[in-house]
Amino acid sequence: MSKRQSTRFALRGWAAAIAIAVVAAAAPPSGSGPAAGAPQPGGRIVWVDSRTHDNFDANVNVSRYTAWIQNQIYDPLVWQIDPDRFVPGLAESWQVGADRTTYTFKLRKDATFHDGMPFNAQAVKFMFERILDPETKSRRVGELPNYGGTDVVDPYTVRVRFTKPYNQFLENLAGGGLPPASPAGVRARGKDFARLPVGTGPFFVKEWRDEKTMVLERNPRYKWGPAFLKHANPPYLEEIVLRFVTEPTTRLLALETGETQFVSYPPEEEIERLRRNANYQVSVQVESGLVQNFPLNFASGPTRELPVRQALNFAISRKRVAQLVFFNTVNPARGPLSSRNWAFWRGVDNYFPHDPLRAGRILDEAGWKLNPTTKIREKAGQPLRLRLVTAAGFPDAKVAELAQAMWREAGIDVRVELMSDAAARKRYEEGTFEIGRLGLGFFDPDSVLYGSYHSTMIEGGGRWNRGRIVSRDLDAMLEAGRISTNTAERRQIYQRVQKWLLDNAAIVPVWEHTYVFASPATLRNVQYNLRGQPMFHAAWMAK
Amino acid sequence: MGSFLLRRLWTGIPVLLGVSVLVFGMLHFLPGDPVMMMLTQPGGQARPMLASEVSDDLYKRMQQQLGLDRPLHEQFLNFLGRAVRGDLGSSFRSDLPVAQTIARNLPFTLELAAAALSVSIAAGVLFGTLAALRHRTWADTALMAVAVSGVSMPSFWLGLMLLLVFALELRWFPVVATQGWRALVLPAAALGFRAAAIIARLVRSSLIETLHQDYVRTARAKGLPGTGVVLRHALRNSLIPVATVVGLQFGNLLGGAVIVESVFGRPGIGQLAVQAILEKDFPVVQGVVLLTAVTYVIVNLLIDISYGWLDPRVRYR
Repeated sequence: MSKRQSTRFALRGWAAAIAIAVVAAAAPPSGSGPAAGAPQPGGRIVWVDSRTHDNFDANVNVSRYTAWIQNQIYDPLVWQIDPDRFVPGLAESWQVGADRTTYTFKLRKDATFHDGMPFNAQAVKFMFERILDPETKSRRVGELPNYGGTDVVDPYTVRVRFTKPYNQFLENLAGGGLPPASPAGVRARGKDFARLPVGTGPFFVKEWRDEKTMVLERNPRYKWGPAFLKHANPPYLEEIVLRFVTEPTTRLLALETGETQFVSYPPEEEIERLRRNANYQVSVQVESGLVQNFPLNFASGPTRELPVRQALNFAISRKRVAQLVFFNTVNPARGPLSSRNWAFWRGVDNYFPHDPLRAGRILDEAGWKLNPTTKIREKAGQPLRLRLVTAAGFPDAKVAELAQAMWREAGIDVRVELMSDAAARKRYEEGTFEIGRLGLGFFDPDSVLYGSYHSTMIEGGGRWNRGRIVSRDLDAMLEAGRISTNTAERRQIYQRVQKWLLDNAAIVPVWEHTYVFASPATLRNVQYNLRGQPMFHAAWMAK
Repeated sequence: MGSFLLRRLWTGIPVLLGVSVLVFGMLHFLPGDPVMMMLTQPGGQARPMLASEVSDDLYKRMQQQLGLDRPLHEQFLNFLGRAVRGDLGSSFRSDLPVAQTIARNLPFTLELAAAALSVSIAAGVLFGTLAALRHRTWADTALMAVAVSGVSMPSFWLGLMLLLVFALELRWFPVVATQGWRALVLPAAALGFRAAAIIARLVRSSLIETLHQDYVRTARAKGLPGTGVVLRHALRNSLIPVATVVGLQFGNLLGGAVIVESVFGRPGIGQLAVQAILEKDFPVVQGVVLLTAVTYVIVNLLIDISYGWLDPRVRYR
């Protein structure tokens, strides 16, 4: 880290520390918990989010964080409530062809878009064709591989064809990127559609008060809410005002002054205090994808050796990372997949507890002996020196520096190289590193594991095999998982993949990414979907 | 005056051209392929494209749509040609016209910078004058101590402190509002405090020097009232170096607005630029930088013009 960066972090740290101390002193005392009661319609909430968004066109944009908001504006054709369980959304029922190349949907006849236009088969066809139209510049094209066309069977029946079997289609329909948008709205609003999307969801975009303030208003016609949210009708809340504020302390202050009723990512160090205060509630949602980890380079440097990779795993305390960097708002990671993922393998607990002595023994046995003068291990005169390449900024820099200190105790000299995200990606593509950084937020293990560990996915563009792992066994398992349509079988396959990755110490899992939200106790019944995203369909404010 | 203006505007053109070349070059030579970033951005809640699924055809089509398939010099000339006509292209990310995006954000930054500048000039001139008139007294020492702390205090920290005291404790001002004058007070104070401190120190030293000039002594000897001597004779003559600094400070305020906009969650071109740089949204970055450069050139021109008003001896040639 440069001196200038250190100074900036130090100043920021001091400011945040003082700010937090004062906030803590000014915090209201703990009171009684939320009283039970019937939902009360009406009211408005201000949701202060941690990012700036300007594109809510779900068929174009790709961002897990924008999806939090898009979920209030759109409905999918199908909802996913379990890995292999889908329930009706805008489609009342569906049939999947035996070879998984055709999907036929019977659509609801009572749903309308926010602009009053009817939702029908033409709208579904329009959506797919729009995504694939190069003029749209959609980043959702990858969700329609081998698309063969859409047939409008009748006004409320639509058949979608693919030229090859497509196992993940229903999952991608439920994933948030393929919700129908009003064709009339798209044509009428042109480029402004990104800011003023027209969907069928429980709220519609009323206005942008300024570049950082968007207003969602209740959709009074809404009566097609999914059964699992237990409220099919128009939402109770009248209005959701979205404010985009990137500074976490400011978001916390807005919560404390009552200016906001829902905050994304309050400062980590304040979460415990908010949890202990009955006037507030905190929701921590674990992301379901690939955990935040350090991929180890199989192709160059000392990390080619299994003992070095194992030692890196034994020498790090994930618990300390979770405590010192995240104030226990994240779970220490144990394996490649998040514990929320449906294919998570419990066997990961048997690997890599924090055991620096064992790390030392393994390295000793592998010929990496400690130089008593430098305190760095050496083999054949070469010091055990590794380059950790990662993006600067929170939390990557802090985690990297803490890990560096722990590895140093085991005699491993890790040089942390902090840089921009783009520069780090270039280094990963070039393979000029021993330790990298990766974490992915997808739901299906195929999306996570195939792209990160198949031998055809060596880093570059959308490929994330940063460790340059080439293994026929691993490839075969990943290919089998991609082809299989049986969830139980896929679970077994992906558990074997996790075992392979840990047997070979392919990565150093560190922590599970979480979505954190805080609100006053008077905001009731905010629900979270399978992906941990907030849903305001049945939320209400107690007076 | 007319020829002076024309000449100054003419000399601004190479400045703008140089800035454009620098920004264009830097963006293109830094690592990161915007086409791949758009197509394969990780972090989607569903599966984005994997590179193996990005066919050459799709890649080339996207590259063509963004105009990135042309030689660099052609891309640059196209950018310049369109910029002259007021067309800054479309954002890679949102596909919205850059000019429109900037136009939506700019008023907030200008409003903030103007408010901060007003605060800093008013406070800087007032406290600088008071310190000069109370030279070598406790008041002078106290005011200059505040000024030194103002120069050394980061606006990020000051912004949070102001929020804690005036928004959380006293509840006088909102934390995250963006509409109305009350929403502007704390951000303007946070942004303008440093500039106020610089101006105050400069006014003080300049005024102390002027107050020792013969013509001030003469004015006093003629029996003119003290306030008149200070305000009409000494202060006005002390303001020429201050005017230069004010011009420079306006540029600093535009730059510093990035931090203050972030702390207070305000819209503005600072926030827009940071986001665009992180996402390699070339057209937006180029548009914002060009606009900032134009603003610098114009503000400095206005400052040059103000010299003549402040000191009639200054003539424009």
